[in-house]
Amino acid sequence: MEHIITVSNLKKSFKANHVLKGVDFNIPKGSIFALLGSNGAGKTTCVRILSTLTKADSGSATICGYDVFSQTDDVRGCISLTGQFAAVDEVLTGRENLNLIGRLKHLGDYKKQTSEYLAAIGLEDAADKQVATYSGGMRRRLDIAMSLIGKPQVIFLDEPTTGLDPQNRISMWDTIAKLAEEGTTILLTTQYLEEAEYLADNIAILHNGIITAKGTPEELKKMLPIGEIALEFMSSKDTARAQGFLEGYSFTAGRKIIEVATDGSATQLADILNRINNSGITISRFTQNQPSLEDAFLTLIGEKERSR
Amino acid sequence: MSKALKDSHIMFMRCLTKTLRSPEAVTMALVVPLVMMVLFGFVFGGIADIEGFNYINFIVPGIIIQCICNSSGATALSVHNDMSKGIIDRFRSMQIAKSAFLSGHVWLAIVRSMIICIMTFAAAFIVGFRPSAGFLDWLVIAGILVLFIIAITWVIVIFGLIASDGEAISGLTFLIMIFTFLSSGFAPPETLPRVLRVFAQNQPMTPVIDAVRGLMHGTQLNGEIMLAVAWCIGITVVAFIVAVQIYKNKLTK
Ligand SMILES: Nc1ncnc2c1ncn2[C@@H]1O[C@H](COP(=O)(O)OP(=O)(O)OP(=O)(O)O)[C@@H](O)[C@H]1O
Ligand SMILES: [Mg+2]
Repeated sequence: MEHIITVSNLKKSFKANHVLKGVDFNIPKGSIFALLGSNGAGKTTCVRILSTLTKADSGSATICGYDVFSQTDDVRGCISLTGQFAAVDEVLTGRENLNLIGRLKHLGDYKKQTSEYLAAIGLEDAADKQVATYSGGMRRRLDIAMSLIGKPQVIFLDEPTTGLDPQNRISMWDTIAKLAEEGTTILLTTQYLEEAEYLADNIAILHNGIITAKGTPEELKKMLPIGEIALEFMSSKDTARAQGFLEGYSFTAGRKIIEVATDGSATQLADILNRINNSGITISRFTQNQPSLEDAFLTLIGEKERSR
Repeated sequence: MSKALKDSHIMFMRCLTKTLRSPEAVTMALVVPLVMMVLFGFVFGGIADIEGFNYINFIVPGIIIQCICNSSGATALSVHNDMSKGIIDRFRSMQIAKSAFLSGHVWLAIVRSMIICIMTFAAAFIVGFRPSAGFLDWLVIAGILVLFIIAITWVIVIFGLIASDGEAISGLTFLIMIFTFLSSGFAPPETLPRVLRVFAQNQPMTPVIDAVRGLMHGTQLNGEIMLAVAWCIGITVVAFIVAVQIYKNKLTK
């Protein structure tokens, strides 16, 4: 697979604060990559290094085949950055902001692109008003549209949906997904697991300065050691009897419900259901508690914390 | 056109659009020279005339220098604003000529100061300024003023880069205004108390003012032109190097 971004052993400290302690990841061309981490994990630092704004202490990174540290100008030619905080010019209008970027990229048809993107982000009505009068969500959308002008190969989005209402968040997701379909590679950072789960082809969890886990959303979920199932019974008598057939499993029993921990595999699931069925006890309700990415995230972070 | 020139031009247009967007500021910048000329010319001019020399003719170079300094404070503020907002990160992550950002601000400052100069001359003529300079003299005057504008602009750019907020910028700009008063602009330095006199006689604005005044009225000049040019070029070179270094340092942090 062709990797358009490669990052290896990236390190960055601010004085005694070791923010990145050796970050590695590769991003296939045309995919969406989510960098997940809590406040202060170093997501923004990582994005700033890759977008040539901050120098790393050591390590290496390439984008579109160019070295991020020595071929900055070439790298800048194929990326575009939407930082965590809106980088729009308040005094200019939305249209002027987009035109400015188009002109700086020396596009012949920048006015046409401006109109297209204004329509795409639903800002046609406010296009000729000063950005100072925009709401936070409008600014964010303009900010992202400014990154799309000129169709860069790689787009960095640092918390693109923070501060958007649910409706605009969904439409932002659509925009991002569409970009990836058109072949743009996207690195986004987020604190929202659902966002990473919905959008990303690959997720990396940044914690304590390293990537503690990476993979597809499904793979990350599987890393959860526990897949829990809940069996509900008609009576407390059934519940008590059923417990006798669950030898070898760890479970917690309530009055009418038993929660059994499994490794999440179909074999274990079938085994448990078979044992109870064969005993003639009726299971009135069966639920499988799909581990959410949230669980995975917290578990992974928690384990590292404990093993430190 | 080379890419650097093109990019600088785009940045210049951006700064220009932003400046024109606050009509109050533009009006103020244009009105101040007029007010200063009228104030100094009519109010103090009347007193000075008694002593037998034309105070308006005497004071025009000082007022011009003062108006230039007064208007350039805006550049410090706009550089500071850009540097402290996210927009600079966007520019930096783009493939833009490295010099474009600062030169956009500098070009606008130069153009604006030139317009202010012309306004001030116009106001001076209205209140009775009568120079005797010939065409060549005017060319030299224009040259000196342009060099002075470039020098002061780069100094002001440093202010914009180092100031932590708008108040700091007001403070630094005020410092420059003190220079304009402690010069040969409003009274001959010989009339000042000793310490101030030494300062006034040796600071860069005095030769600039003396040279411009001498050229305007055809009075004897003793190397003031060369001294003024040397000061302006010296300040420009030093301020340019310092500004670019601070700019780079700020960005690699
Ligand atoms: N310019 C800087 N100077 C000093 N410390 C910095 C600087 N930038 C970031 N840091 C520190 O690096 C750490 C990581 O910051 P970073 O902004 O990368 O985190 P983040 O994951 O983006 O957090 P958030 O979710 O809050 O945006 C923090 O402890 C922060 O204080
Ligand atoms: Mg951040």
